[in-house]
Amino acid sequence: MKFQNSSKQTQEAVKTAPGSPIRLIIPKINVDTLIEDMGVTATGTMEVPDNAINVGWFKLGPQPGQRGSAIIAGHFDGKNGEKGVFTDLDKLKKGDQITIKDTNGASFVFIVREIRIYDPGYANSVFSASESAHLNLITCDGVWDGAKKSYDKRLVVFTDILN
Amino acid sequence: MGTTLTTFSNSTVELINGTQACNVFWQVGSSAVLGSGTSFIGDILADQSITDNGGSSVTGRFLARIAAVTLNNTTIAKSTCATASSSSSSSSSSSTSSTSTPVCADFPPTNNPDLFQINRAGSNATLYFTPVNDHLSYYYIAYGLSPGDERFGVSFQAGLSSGVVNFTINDLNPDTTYYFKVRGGSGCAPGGWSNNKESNSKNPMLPNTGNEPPKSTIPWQISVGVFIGIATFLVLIQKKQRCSSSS
Repeated sequence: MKFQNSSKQTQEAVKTAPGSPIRLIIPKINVDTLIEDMGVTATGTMEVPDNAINVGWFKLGPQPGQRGSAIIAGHFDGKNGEKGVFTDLDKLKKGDQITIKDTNGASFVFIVREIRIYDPGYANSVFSASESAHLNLITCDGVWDGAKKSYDKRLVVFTDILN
Repeated sequence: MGTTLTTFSNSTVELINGTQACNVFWQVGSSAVLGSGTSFIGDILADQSITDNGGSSVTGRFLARIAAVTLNNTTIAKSTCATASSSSSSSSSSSTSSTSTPVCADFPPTNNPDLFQINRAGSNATLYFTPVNDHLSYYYIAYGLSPGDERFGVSFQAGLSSGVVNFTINDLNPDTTYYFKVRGGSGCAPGGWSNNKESNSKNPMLPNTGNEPPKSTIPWQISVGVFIGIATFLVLIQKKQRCSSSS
């Protein structure tokens, strides 16, 4: 699927239910990876893939291309210190393109709107409802907290579907 | 009824005092014969046969245990009991004395809502869905504890709209996962269901996508390098001094 053909498809996509997302492509940071379905852990945190290569889509929310905020998370780094799929997520700038491919063969192009830093925990604005389709990408940021075994910030890239 | 059931031509069975056709049964010990053009209501349960002499209209069913059911240009309609919602606006409600079948005169919405997001906060859940485009007087939200479970429900009056519709349901168990679906309706005519959407108790916390960074090895390398460098320097100085003193 070529990028230049995607605009018309994205307009159609909002009107019809997309298939499940299977591939995330971000040319700016050389990401082209599989998408796994994710739920919620027993402690109420969004699940993430058990590897640093794939990304995870929050399956209890909208699908990318549906109305609302679809959520995809990816690792900042791997268990052996290797780079994660979203190590360079902070290098995205407003206007950069992100493409999602789904099981129906459709592509959805999203445009970066802004990047925000959050504390760990709840952030309803990331999961907020909307009349149009959005895709929000999440990874870790900040400084490693050995006691909590977590970085102390979360980086969220907000995008809007290309119309 | 002990023996037979026979109706005159062009006779009519009338329901009074709110009786519904679905609650009328005729138990016939032998056979039943409907005269031509009978307007008949109820289920006939006959031991032997049931015969329509021609052109009768029936709201109900014919059930014969042994012999034949003979139809002759008979018009048969299924008898249905009116529900609570149908009595509110159906112009042909069975709550009045009438010989007519309780038929809903309303048109259902032609499209189904798209339930695309549910936000949970404490004991509340706010549902967001696309509207139906026509024939709307209310929305009905059904929810339960598993996909398709409709044990709970709430309806609210609504008119046609072009934007996203939202509705908040209160008094939910914050720790329970519910499954929601919504449909529009017009009077006694319900529309089709939306997709069924699962909602956990709240939006999840932002994920932890990090792993412990490897300990840096630079200080150890630097310290070893500095040690080797200083030792080499001292050895060279010492050698130079020996050379100087020997010469």
